[in-house]
Amino acid sequence: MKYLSGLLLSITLTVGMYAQTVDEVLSKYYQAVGGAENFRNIQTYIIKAKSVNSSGTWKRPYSMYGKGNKVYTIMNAQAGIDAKQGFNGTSGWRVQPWSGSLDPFPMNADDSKELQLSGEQLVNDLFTYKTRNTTLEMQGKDEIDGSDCYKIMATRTDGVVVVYYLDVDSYLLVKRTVKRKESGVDTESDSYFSNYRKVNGMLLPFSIEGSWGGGLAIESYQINTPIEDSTFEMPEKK
Amino acid sequence: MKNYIVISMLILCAGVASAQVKLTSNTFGNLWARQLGPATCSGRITAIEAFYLPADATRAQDKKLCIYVGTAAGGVFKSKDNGTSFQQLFEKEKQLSIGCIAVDPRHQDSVVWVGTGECNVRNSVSLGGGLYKSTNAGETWKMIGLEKVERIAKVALQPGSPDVALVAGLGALWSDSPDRGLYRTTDGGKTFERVLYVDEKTGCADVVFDPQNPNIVYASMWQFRRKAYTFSSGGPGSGFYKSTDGGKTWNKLSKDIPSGDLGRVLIAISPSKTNVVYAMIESKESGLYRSEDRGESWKKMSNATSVTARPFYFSCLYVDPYNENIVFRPSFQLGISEDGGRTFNGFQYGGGAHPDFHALWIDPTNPQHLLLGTDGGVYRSYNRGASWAQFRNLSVGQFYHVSYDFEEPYNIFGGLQDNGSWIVPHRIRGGAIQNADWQATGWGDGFSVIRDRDDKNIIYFESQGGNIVRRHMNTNETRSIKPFEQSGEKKLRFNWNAPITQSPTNPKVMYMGSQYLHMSTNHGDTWQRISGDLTTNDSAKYNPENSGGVTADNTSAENHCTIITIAESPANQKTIWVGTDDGNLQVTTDGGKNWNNVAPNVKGSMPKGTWVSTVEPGHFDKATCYVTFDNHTNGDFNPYIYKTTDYGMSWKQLATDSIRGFAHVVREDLVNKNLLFVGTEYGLYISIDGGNTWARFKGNLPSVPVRDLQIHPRDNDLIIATHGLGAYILDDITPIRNLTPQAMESELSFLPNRPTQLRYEAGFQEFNGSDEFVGSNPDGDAQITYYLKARHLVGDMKIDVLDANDKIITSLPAGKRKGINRVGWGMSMKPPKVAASQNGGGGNFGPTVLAGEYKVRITKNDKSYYGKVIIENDPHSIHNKEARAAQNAAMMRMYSLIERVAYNAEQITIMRDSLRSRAAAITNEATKATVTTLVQKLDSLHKTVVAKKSSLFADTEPQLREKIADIYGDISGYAGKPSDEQLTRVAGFEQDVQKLEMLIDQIRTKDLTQINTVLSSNKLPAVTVISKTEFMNRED
Repeated sequence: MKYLSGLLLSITLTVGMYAQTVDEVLSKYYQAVGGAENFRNIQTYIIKAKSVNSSGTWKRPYSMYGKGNKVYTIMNAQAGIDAKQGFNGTSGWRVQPWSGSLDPFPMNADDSKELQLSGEQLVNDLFTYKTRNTTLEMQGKDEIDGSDCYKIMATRTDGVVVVYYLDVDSYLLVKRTVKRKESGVDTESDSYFSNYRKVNGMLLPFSIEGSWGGGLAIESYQINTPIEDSTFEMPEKK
Repeated sequence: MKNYIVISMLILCAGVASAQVKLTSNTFGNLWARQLGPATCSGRITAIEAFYLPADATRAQDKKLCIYVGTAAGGVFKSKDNGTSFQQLFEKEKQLSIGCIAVDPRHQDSVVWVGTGECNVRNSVSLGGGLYKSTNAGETWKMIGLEKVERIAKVALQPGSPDVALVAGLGALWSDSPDRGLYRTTDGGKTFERVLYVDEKTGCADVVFDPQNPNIVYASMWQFRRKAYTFSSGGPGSGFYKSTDGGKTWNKLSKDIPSGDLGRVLIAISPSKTNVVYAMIESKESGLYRSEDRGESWKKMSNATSVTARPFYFSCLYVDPYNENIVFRPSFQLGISEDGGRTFNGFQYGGGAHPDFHALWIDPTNPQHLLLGTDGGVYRSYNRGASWAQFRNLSVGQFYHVSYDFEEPYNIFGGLQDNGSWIVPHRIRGGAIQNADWQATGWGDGFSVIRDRDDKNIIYFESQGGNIVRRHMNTNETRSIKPFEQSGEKKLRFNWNAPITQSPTNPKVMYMGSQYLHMSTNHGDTWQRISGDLTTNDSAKYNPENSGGVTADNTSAENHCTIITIAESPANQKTIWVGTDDGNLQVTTDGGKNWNNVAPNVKGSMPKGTWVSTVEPGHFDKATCYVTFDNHTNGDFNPYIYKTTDYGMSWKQLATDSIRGFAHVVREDLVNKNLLFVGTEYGLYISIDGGNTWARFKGNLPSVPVRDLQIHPRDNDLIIATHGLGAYILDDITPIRNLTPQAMESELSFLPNRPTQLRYEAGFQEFNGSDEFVGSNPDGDAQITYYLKARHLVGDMKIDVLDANDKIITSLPAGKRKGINRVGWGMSMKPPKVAASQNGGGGNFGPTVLAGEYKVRITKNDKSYYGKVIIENDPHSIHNKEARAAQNAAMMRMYSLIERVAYNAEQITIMRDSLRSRAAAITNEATKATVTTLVQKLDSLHKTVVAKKSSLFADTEPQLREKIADIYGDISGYAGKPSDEQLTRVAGFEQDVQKLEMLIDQIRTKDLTQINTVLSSNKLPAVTVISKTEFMNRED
């Protein structure tokens, strides 16, 4: 019984230590980015950016609209070619002009999920975990691009695992890794965040780069500008 | 100018505080070494575990095999797609030599155990150190214990209770060790208890649970020892044991077991009838033994060579999952018995698999389906070994040496453990390095391979024991050119890895070492001895015929008292350095007339007689030499790196605590004498201050043994020969050469690169699937390199490339990591503005810039930093300056045409669409018809300018926009003067565009003016077109 008590105490301390560590890190993260409430109060956002490739040979206008879990993106791939994607909260769609058609067509579930997750760059699991029953686990430190980061793993109820890497000095988000299954196969995608600037009291990244070798050079954020729900719905065929 | 002054002042100020600078692995930032391969011959595999992934509930028909592969010194690889592709799992761990893998059958998708330290204990085997466990399917690993156990042969998870495990700790190869033995854990690896131990010389070589009765366990203890000059298998410590209480206590088996000293004992139980147990017992009566009563009594079944061969190297035995009489014994071949071990198939390699087999997985659902681990990678058979398919995606080769030539692209030459000698271009023009690009040039175990600088048609290569061969590349004819002993003389002693080198000062001279230094000036046809015996010539250490212990084994691997490294000073032809495997370090300063053994002058902690692994004479001073010593054959894994500046009279130890693992090689940079590179058993280390401080280079290069390094004098690349993951190249070390303490103290400091060559290399149409390894080409972009003192996170940071007038050519995302950042610029201008179209073509890419110097500006918050990139023409280009200028001029003509077409198409569209909307509001039919007529005219005109739909599916004819884009693409892809045919077409398009512009002018000034009058009378707004300036400035 004495051993059992010791074991229970040990478990309690261990769990407590981990929980506290997550909370401590989150607290400093919230403080660094301007307060969790500011982020939780984001109802809508509009990101205006340039989509760029890493070698500087390609740069095109790009916008992302978000409202709750709804997402709409439009990228002007070339004059006359607007690539669009939308997720209305339950299903996704896209227009791919280079495929030979300007008609929208529905996305499959995997692609819809990917689009939905891409819309969680601002209001991420570190803000929503309590309301969405997401489990956060502190996984110690990991070195990202030559500097130490706190590593927090978010296991979501939708089966997606997202790993967040926060800079140990500034507590800003440096990297986000999304792990999920696509057509039954495990996939991973990374996003890197930098060029933070203050917007409406929040510190927001103005550079988001992906493991694919390109990214977004963000020019502006509009927070809580009204956006019609129809923006996210699949348009009629023209 | 002001910025330059500010930067200069900052650098000066930083210089004052330079003593604070500390070199770390992070200093090297995002510099990375690219892996070249080869996977075509792969490398030694030490463990294979596989299982079928549980089917997804919605995909019940899925049957995907998950495969874990352990390698000799390259770590663990995992495939989740039946072997089509593999992921490296162990690259962050301290050592990559793998002894065994065990997957928890209850948690196959998460819990994996890995015992480090290969147990096929040949002379060149790498080191392990401990037991690792992953609870997330290999994503991360935790070293859970037994760190002092150098080699772990097996992790046996107790059937039904996999938290109970027995771990066979074979232990140290090169020394006694009190940490050997059989360990038991009952809590999944949190704690261990040693349950079987004999002595410091005897480790546990195998352990097997009875799958139906976990109380019954068999284990073997093996006394073994390797020294630099001999190997011994067997002794009184060896034994065969059985436990009947789950491994807590053990009884030594003796009934029917051969008498006398045993060697290694391999054990296998029939899964279908667990009373049937097999053991390959190494002894004077080596053979396969069979028990039908759970080990109580034994009967010798076979002493076939395929069964008894080299137990120290071929260390596994298996039984078919359904038939207790089918036995698999991997050795030189896959020995298979179908009669309970009495007879085995004949001596054959079987279906083309690389001989020397070390691991086998038998599909429990189909025993015809096998995965075989060999010296040449993993093979799969669906007919129980009659034919094999190789997995060509594992680059785990073990190089000993590497060299280069001066072709463009230059080639790399190297020899691999058990995989011969190879040549590969360091890059492929227009492609990437594929398996087919690796060209085999030698056989056996490969070591030094050299292209003769005097006659590039000649390649020298060797196999083990100094068997040097000259190959004539134009005919592929070969000649053995090994030096012989003179009549009546004792045999020449050549090391397993005998040194061959060419003089850096005179390409007609080459050297080779036995116990003597041999020199040839006629491509090896004759050899002149230019030394006496430079070794200790200790006859007690030269008896390879007596090596092996219970089983004799004389393959030249234990040849000793030999020369192992030779180098002529690049600063003085008469100065030659020679190192031997028995600790002599000899130098001559008169071309070999007199020799001086300066090893005794090395003071400090290094033991006497330590193997000299590399001599590296200084490039800047004839009295300077760097030397690595390697004492691992005495169980001493410390690095010994020394430098002399007085021909060896005195030595300075350069190794520090920052360096881990015994040292194989040291190289001094060819430009910066303070820049040194060292390869150890655990990776690549770099010093930028002459060896005072060191940091491990981690960029895509794990803790793999680095056996050789070469710096390409022309291309400034560091070529890295690993003994576990093939060859790597760290492209362009110029930034590291210029990484001064001052640069490291500044917030941001540009570092120079080699000039980038403008190459016009067309790609190929290749669709090879995912099942072949592909080595990277170097990045063809112009590299912008700078050092950042700290990660940039807050505020703006971007890179602009500027032309001579400080006009921005392009902007790039900046690298923001701490340390060196290398950012590639595609060397092109911004794309032209193209006519709006649903068609993806249209010439939406920028023309390549001309060679020259370009200014680079990095803006970091409110500060600007200026650097430059230099772009050169490909020196092998067939085009002269005038031809390139002609191409550029034509390209810019097309660029202008594309933008003119874009503007005109926009005018047409605006007029057409505006008028169309006006027409809808006009009620007067006659007026409406007039407007509509012009709309139709404009629409027809637009269709001659822009293709109506995407050309992706060829459902439309290309129009002016697309035709111009095509010729723009054609001219852009060739660096020389466009053909007359092309120039004629360009001129034709210029006329077409001019006509188009005149027509639109006419429509705008005449037709539209008239229509606007009509619109005005109908109280409708006039239609206006966009100005060219407005159009060009508009972002779309």
